[in-house]
Parts: sequence; C-alpha cells; structure tokens
Amino acid sequence: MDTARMRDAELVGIRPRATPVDELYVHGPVLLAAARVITLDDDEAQDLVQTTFEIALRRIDSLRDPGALRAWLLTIQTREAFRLVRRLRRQVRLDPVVHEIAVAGPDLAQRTDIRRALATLPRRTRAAIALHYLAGLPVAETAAAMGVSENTVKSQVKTGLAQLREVLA
Amino acid sequence: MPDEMPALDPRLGDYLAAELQRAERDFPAINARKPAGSPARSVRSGWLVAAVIGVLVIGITAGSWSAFSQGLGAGGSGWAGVEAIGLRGMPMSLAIADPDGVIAGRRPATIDELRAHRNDIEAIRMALTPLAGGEWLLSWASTPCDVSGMLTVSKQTLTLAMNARPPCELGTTVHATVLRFAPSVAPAGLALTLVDPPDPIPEADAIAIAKQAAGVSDVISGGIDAVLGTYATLVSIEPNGIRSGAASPAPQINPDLFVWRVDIFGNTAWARVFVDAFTRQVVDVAHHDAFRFDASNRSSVSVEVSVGSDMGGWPHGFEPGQSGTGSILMNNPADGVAVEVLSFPSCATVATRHYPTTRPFTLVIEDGATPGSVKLSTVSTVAASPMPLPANMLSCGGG
Repeated sequence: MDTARMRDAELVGIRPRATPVDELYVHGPVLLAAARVITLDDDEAQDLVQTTFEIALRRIDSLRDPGALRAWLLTIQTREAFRLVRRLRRQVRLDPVVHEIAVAGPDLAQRTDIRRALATLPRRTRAAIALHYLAGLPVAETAAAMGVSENTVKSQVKTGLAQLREVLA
Repeated sequence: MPDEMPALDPRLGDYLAAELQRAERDFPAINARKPAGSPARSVRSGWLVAAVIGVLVIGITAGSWSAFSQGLGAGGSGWAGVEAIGLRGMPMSLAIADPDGVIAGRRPATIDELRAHRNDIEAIRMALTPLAGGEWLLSWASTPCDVSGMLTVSKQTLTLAMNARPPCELGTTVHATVLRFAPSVAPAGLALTLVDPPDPIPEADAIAIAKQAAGVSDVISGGIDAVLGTYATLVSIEPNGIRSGAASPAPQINPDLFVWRVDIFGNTAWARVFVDAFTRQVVDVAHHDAFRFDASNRSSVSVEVSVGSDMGGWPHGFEPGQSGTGSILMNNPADGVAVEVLSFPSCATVATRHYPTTRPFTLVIEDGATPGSVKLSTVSTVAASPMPLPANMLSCGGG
C-alpha cells in the first residue's frame, strides 16, 4: 500500500470507531477476483468492486463484527451483482470498446475454455463458486451472502460443477 | 474445502487461482485515481472511484509551510487568501480572513498530529490544541461534502463557516490545519465557532432547476447522492431520439459525470446527471413506448423500488407513505416490466415480480405477513397527472 493511501486511511474519521479504510482495501483483490468470476466482464467487475466499497463506506456502522469484514463485503458485492437495475443497465450499454484481457502463455486456451464454460452457468451459480472456492467462505456464509439456504448453495454448486465438467469434456 | 462441497475440477481450480493472482496484481492500479480529464474506461467506474476517494481523501496534506503562509504577518493590515486543503480529487478550499493580523503563519497538519487529536474532534466538533513550538492545531469535523469554507480569525474569535453545498449523507471527516498566532493573541481564549453550511435546496427544487436549465423534457430519476448531493438522471427527448442534456462537465470527478450548478435565491442547487449508455447514446425512440407507473409505499418499511424494462432500469426510494410517478422506455412492450423492491437499511431484496402488462398501473407496496416483509400488488389506475418523486435519503447505491 502506498504512502498516500496510508495517509488517506489515517485521515478518515468517518465515524467513531469506523473500520479503518485500509482494512477495506485489504480485501480488494479477492473482491475483484470474485467479481470477475461472477460477471465474466472486467469492466463490470471493476464497477462492482467500486460500488461495493462505496456502499460499505456508507454503511460501515452496520458492521458489528470487524472479524466478519470480508464476508460482509462479499455479501454486499454479491447482492449488488444480482441487482436487477445493475444488470439491465449493463445490458443496454453500447460500449464500442472491446477490452481484451492480457493473457499469455500455454494456459490461454485452457483459460478461454474455462471462461466459456463458466459463461454457460447462471450468474448465481458462478457467485456460489466464487464465494466458496475462490473467496473461501464457508457454505453457511456463502448462503447468507446470496440470501439463499445452504442446501440451495450446495445444489447450485453441485449442478454447476457437473455442467462445467460436461462442457469441458 | 469443508462443508461437504464437491471437489473442483483442477482446471477450474487453476482458473480461480489465476484470477486471484490477476486481481492481486490489478487491484492497486485499478483503484488508483485516474488523472483528471482522462477518459473513463468505464462510464460508471469512473464516478465510483471518485465517490470512494471523495469519502476517503479529504483531509490535510502533510507538507511544508505554504506560499500563502509566508504572506501572513502579525500586526499587519490583515490578510485574506484561499488555501487548498486536501488531497487528490476533491480539495477543500479554505478562505482565511485575518482582519486583525493575528495569524503569524500556517501550515498543513501532519498525519501524526491529526491522529493524536482526532478523539477530541469526535467529541466536540472543533478544537484548538497547543502543539510544540508555539503552534496550534485547529481541527474540526465536517463531511466530505464540505469542500469550501471561510476561516475568520480575530483577536477574540475564530470562526469557520462552511459554504453552501448540496445535501450530504456522509458521516464526519476530520480536517485540520496548524496555525501560529501573533504574541498579542491568547489562542486558548479564542471563542471557537463552527458554522454549518446553510440548508441546501430541497431535492425536488434542485431537480426542477436543473431540468429547466438543461431544457430537458423528462426526468428518469432523482435522489440524494453520497458525494454530490442532489442529483437527477435527465434526458432530453428530441425528434430523433434521446440525448443527455448538455451541461458543464466536472472533470475533477469524472468526465462522464455532468453537474449543473444553478444559483437561485442566493443559494446554489446542484444536479448530477449520470451519462451512461442509456442516456449517452443516441437511441431511436420512434418505436419505443414509455411505460408510466405510479408507486405507492403503504407499508411500514422504507424501500427502494427498481423497475426494469428491456431498455433500462429505474430506481427510486420511498419512505413509508410516499408515492411518486415514474416512467421507463420499453423496446418491446410485450416484454413487460420487472419490479424489484429492496428494504432499508439492509438493502435486501424483499420482493420481485414481473408484470407483462404495458398498461399504466399503480404499484402498491404493503406490509407482508412477517415483520419487515412486503407484498406487492397493482391497481389498474394511476394519478390523473404524474406525481413528483418523493424526496428522501434512500439509496442502495450503485444501481
């Protein structure tokens, strides 16, 4: 973290006993990675992470357990990713710029295959996979973040992974 | 992985690990603010970066004595100037009036100084604290939206008055600066006064003003924004399609974020315009229908109502008892509209429904069977004329 950012964090007295901003940013990479898996769109993923931070800063007082910060952020992000308006606005965006992902090396073909396979899954299934396997949330927290039951998460993941295996076969 | 979850295909495992590595590498760069005036890579991401930074960075830069402070002198005929306080993005301009010539110097506060005295500010909002070497730390609590003010120091009083600004829902941020006083002044005896900004113009007025200023003919939505306050999403409907209204850009925030500032009755109204593809692109609307609907929150729950069509989305907050009229374009009326209701303060989705009808209706939100839940219904009638959207602070962000 650069010096300027550390200063920023120190300077913020948003609310008494607020979670230091630095602590939010510690979770940035995992939020971004999860957002990319959920959206399969780098631009939307960036939007999502930034929206998550914005919402988190505005609602930081509602975080009761600082130890649950990571799960809390992932919950905000996941629910935001599912929002109707967000999805619709993305759909109608007519962005003429094609953003290429810089990927090199022998894994390119495999990455492309995985990405295409993931694209066949519902967004909620990708979210369950990202939250559980990438972000490391337990099933209970994954379910809470998605607003569904644990059984639903297990079912979605099981079905999704089976579908992935078929597509990749 | 615990919890009896199936094992990952190794290829998917590798992919997820690579995504995490890529994010570790990319996140710092993505999170860094773009230089002012640079084109937004993503329309909304630019403003969101600005929003976050706006919350975070308004503070005091550490540094040397400013050029302005060299012009300050005790016993002179007074001095006034404007000093920029703050970090990137949204600096705070502090005009300093020193009619009695009591300020002998000024410099930005350091991080350590601010940290050491922040607790004082949380309790009392404004403090003048002695430092070593005859310096005094002037610290105060205000919101990140308070980006300018006037500091007036005399022999007996020190008054900091915040300038007018839009409505602001953000919490308190600590600001500080370091002053030196002329020997004739007893800083500990100065009467400190922190003057809050004057009441902003009500949201509905600001939207109306912006609408008039821009010559637009429709308002998609409005609300209270975290950083800039009152905003409206506006479009002008022209014979050949939809365009965003012309306005002065605010490149320090986002080249794609347009802000109107209109003076009226001695106050200033701000209106923010999202210029996303929905409004930025010229779209042929010759065959598009505008779906009009009323929303009435008869429940005891504060909600944000999102209505989506195959052309876009419309979100607005409704406190209990509030009603308003919205409209949304539809590409294919047969697709109908989808409704999503989020409750406050959790912003959890409490109801979703798809309505295939294209006939105007009133969406009625009522209390559900369990506390905090709601149920949706529709009435086939609407108000005789469109109702204004209610003013409130409800927003689940993003959108």
